[in-house]
Order: sequence, then C-alpha cells, then structure tokens
Amino acid sequence: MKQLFKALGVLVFTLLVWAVFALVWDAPTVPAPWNVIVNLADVFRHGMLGNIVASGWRILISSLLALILGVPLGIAVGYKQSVSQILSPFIYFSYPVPKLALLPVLMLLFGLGETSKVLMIFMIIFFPVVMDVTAAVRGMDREIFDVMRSFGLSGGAICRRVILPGLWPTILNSLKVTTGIALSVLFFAENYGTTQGMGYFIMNSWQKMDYLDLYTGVLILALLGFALFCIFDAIERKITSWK
Amino acid sequence: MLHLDNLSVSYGAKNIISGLSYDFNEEAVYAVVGKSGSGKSTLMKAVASIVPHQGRVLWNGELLTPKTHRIALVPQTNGLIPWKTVAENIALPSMLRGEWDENAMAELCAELGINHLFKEYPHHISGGERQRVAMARAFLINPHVLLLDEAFGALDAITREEVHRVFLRAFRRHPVTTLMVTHDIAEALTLARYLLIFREGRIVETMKNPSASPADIPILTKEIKEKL
Repeated sequence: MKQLFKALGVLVFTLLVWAVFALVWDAPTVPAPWNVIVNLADVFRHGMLGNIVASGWRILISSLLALILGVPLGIAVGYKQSVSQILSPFIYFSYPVPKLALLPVLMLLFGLGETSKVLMIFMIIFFPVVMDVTAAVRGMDREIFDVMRSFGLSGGAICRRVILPGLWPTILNSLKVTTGIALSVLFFAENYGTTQGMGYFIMNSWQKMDYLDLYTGVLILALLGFALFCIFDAIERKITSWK
Repeated sequence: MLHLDNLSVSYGAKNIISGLSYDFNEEAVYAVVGKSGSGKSTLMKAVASIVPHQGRVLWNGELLTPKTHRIALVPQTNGLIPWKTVAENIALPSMLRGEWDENAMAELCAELGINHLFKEYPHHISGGERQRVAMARAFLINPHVLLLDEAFGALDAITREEVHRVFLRAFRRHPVTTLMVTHDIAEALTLARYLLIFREGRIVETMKNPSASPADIPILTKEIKEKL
C-alpha cells in the first residue's frame, strides 16, 4: 500500500510539473495534462484499443523470439568456454551495429508487412538478452557446476536443471529493459505499411499537428509501460524468494 | 578400492600432478595435507573427472567416472544451488540417477539434524547448516568415493567442531572411501585415519593417524608441518 501511495505521489508530482510547464509555455504544442486526460476517452472511442493490440502483439512476438533464441545462446556462451571463443567475437561485432540502419534491407527482403516490423524489433532486443544471460551465467558460482559434474550431470542437464531455473530474475530484468527498447523502436517499425499501432498513432498525430492526440498516445504508452513493469516486478517478487 | 594409476594433470605447460600412483584400500578418511599450490584440489578434481588428466583413476579395476560410478564432491563453498530449496538440493543428484528414496533422505537428514530446513533456501541458513546440507546430498547417493575439498575451511572454529562431529557420526553409519583436502592439520588428525603428505603434485609420505589425545595434537601438528 505504501508503495502504491509513493507511485501515486510521483504521478501527481509529474502532472503538476507538466501543468506548470503547459501554463508557462501556453502553446498548442504543450497541451495541459487535464485536456490530455479528458482526451483519453475520445481516442478510445475512436479505435485506440486496436492500436494497443497491434503494438502489443508485435512486441510480444519479437520478445518471445528474442527469449527463445537468446536465452539458450546466452547460456551456451556463458557456460562453455569453447562456445564463447567462437561466438563472442560475432556478438561483439554485431551488437554495436545500429539495427535501424538495416530497416530498408528488411523491408526489401520481407516486405512492408508484419514480418519486417517484428524482425526489426527482434534484432534490436535480441542482443541485450544474450548479453544479460551470458553475464548472469558467468556470474554463477562455477563450483556448483563442478559439483554437479562430479555427480554425473551432463552439460545439457546442468543447463536445463541448474542454470535455467536460476535465470528467471535475469530474464525478467531483461524483459523490462527490452520492452522499453521495443516501445521506442515502434516509432520506426510502425511508420510504414500500417495504420495500426501506437507508434503509427503518435507519428500520425504529430504529422497532422494534432498535439492533443500525440500527448494522449505518449501518456497511454507510459501507462502501459508502467503497468507492464509492475507486473514484471510482481512476478519477480514471487519467484525470487530464494534471494 | 580406489586406485590412482600414473595420474598426471597439467594446466597449459605447467605440470600440477605428475605420474601419481596410489591405492586407497579402505573405507576410511584419507587427509591430503600440503601447502597452497601443491596440487591438492587438482587431485580432487582429477578423481572427480572434472579436469582433463592423463593416467587412470580406477575403482575395483574399472575406470572411475561420474557416469558409471557415484562420486560426491563437497567443496569449501558447499556448491549448493541458491535457487533450489534445501530439500531440492539434497534430492537432485539422486533423482537424476533415478535412485531417490524419500525415507532414506528423511532418515539421513535426521541424523545430520537438518530435516527442519527442507523448505529453506541456502542463503537463509547458516554456514554450518549449509555444509551439513552438502554432506547430506553427498551421502544420500551412497557414493563410491567422497571428496571433501576444504569442506570445513570456511567455518568458524566452533561451527567447524560441531560439523566435524556430525560428519563423523554420518561417516560411521555410512563408511565410504573419503579423500579430504585440508590445510588444517589438527582437522586432519581429528577426522582422518591416514594423512598423505602432498608436495609438488606427489604424495611424499603416508602416515597412519596415531589417534593421539587432543593434548598431543599441537605437537603432532608441528611435526607434520615440518614435513610439508
């Protein structure tokens, strides 16, 4: 309860600062927070839920892909020195490359539909997942692995039965970070070949100079992000009682 | 019976153990004592087959491997999995071998005084309790060979004495060929039947524990230190 009040306090403070800024700026480019809040009902009446579902779907698929491919790769690189020697150079080489620069390539290869959008988001969030999982595995006490090997566990069994259950806090933390990144990538990924999505809604509002809708879209994104992070935190508290 | 046949271990160009042959004929505690860097822990790891080595480690004439035999390693940091409960930690190796017996586990843990800890996680129990959990996990699989690698080294003096007593009680009920690495000679004299003086990757002398009174331990300790 205490934390809820603290969160509400922060929210109220943010709205106050925004209100003061809006009153001082006094221009359509910075609408007052109460106007934006009232506008929420209007945008939902005009199909906002469809935008939320479209963006949510893209983020969900790309995040699942990043986890399904990134977690096993991170475990392999973190656990086995020989795998790390082969794959780490490739990861370090690819990670800093700005993936958004590859967007035209993705569009050429996969078209303007959902595939290129999902792949764009996936490519950007895949590497942080791999790096987080690798670091977490390397941070585990190696003597645990020695003991398990002395008991006759194979490398595969150690990865499945020992390492993977211990990675849930890392995976949840990685999801928090990558969700934030994915939300920001939406602005680029949803700027073509679609009329559905939060990124499309916000950019379209900006282009029409409908600043009220623009801020409303940003507020909805912020609230969605807040809700998601609260869910991740609740799950983390439940499954990391061992800490 | 455990037999080391011309065992050698190298890390890069550095020979840690060279051509070591030895017979461990009894279900007894053999304390391997030596200075830091003499290769004692490497010997443990070679017997456990978790480092590459040349030569052979045999059990009753057969190659001793973790897959074909039951080897239990208890390191100084106990090697417990933090995200599994005490019960899950103890049961895991036996379960994966398809040999878990709930009653045997309950009985063993009662002997070690830890069955009230089953639902706890390793971080929530004391160091002495963690070592007892690690011992329970080791004894539960009825190992052919038990390897204690400075297993009591991280404990304070009072806790160490208590865990020694618990270990001896469990050992008497479940005798097993045990190799114990320790830098604490008094501990070796307390727990082991044989002391193996280890120097530069070789066993240079074997001493049978004279089972002297506690008052004689400091004198014996001094004598043994001079041999290291």
